[in-house]
Amino acid sequence: MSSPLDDQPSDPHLADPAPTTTPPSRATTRRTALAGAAGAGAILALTGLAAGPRPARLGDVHGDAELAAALRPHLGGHRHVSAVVTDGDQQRFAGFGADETTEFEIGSVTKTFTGALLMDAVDRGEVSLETTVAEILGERAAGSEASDVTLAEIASQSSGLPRLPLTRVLASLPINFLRKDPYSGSSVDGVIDAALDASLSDRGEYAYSNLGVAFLGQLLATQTGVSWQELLRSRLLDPLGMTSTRAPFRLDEIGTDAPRGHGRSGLSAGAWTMHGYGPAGGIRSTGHDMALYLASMQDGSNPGSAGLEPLVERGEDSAVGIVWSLRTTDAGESLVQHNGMTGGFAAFCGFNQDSGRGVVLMTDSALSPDELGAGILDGSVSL
Amino acid sequence: MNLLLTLVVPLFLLVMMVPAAVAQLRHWTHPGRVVLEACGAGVLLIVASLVLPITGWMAIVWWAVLTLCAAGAGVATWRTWHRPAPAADGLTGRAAVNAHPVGARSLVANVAIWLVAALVALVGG
Repeated sequence: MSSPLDDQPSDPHLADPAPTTTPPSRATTRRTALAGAAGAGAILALTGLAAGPRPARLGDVHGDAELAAALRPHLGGHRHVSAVVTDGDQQRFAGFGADETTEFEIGSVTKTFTGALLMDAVDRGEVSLETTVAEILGERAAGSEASDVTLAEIASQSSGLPRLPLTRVLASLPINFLRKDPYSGSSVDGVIDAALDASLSDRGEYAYSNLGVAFLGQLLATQTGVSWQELLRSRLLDPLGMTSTRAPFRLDEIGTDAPRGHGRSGLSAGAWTMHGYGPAGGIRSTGHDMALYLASMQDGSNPGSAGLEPLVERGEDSAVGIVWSLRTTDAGESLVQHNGMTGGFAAFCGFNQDSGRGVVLMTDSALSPDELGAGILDGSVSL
Repeated sequence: MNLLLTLVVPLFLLVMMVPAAVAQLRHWTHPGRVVLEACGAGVLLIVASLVLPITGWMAIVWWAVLTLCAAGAGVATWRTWHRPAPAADGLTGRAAVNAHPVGARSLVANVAIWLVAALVALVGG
């Protein structure tokens, strides 16, 4: 009986079984073959375990089952989702693996809170929309291109400030690989200095800037003498009854039991607080609280509702007010909306000023729910 | 730019691994090279997962490529187990490359690079 090693090769490359110049012994070949297989198997298995894209499955339904059934077809790839839909005074909640108290990072929807704080400060007479950077920072802004930029320009994303400083982009590259907060380590002074050092481009035209809105939040904090987090708490969250909403500055303030999100490949993503950039995206909130926020924008009790006049054109049928995006549908209806995304979460908040319909969508996957949110607002997604 | 980052680059990264896996399916491959190819595939798969939005069909392609690489390693090991190393003189192209032994330093370096990538994927988030 012949051993497998005695078999004649059928592979054309093996037609000549003559030994190589340094032929491995058969025993060695068997041992090394096993070692190679074990090594390669371990490497590929661990690769799949560590980095394999995870299939997503929507969590169990909470709240309005009918609303959940209508939303489900649009939520492929998501895991835990919280949705609030308003129609006039009627408010419905549906959650997938999330109830009204489940916390989500809302990302750049935070910018609308900073815009509301600006309008609140205007209402209090502390600043005006035409207040310049130099009027708040004084000598510190001397020589800066941004010194004569107004708060209205910053809030309407037309200040000419870059999306982010190049140094922040470069510093965040290795952190992105680790799926951590890319804004980690930024300070309040660092944000202000970065804005003052920045070169402005295309001032007066729409150009989305995280640096700009973070700068705006820190300018308001400077003007009022308290931190942006404290301003947020005392002037917006407490008056609106949003007791479960917070904007922790440090990572250890989040708590170990706080939900963590998922990147677009399904891998876990670290929590974001954004440190000095918090005013541009550092808020964590719940379905219950965001329903209050949405309702306050719709009924006018939110100071931010005074900032919905278009200030800068953003393309056809689209403009920007104080942070909020403003869009006119083909049917002539006016939509107010803003989205947000962090490393592991995404959110959408908006309302239709004509139909009275509003929506908040929050998900713990970094997958944009914008299309669904906009569809709910303009009626192309039926509920 | 968005299309480039979300579709072209991930597909390019993933497709890059296919020829090596196919070569293992076709040719006698030195066990050291089997490990080396696994390291290369592992690093590219991890980088693709960490940096790019790999969902839906792209995720299926990701797992398909990983499976293909594993199949290549399995078939190559079976062939090495059952057949002697082919003659160096009679080999050309990919067959010669696959049959060529791998230097210890190259192997260690590649395993180290893969380990770093795997650690980043495991400890991140």
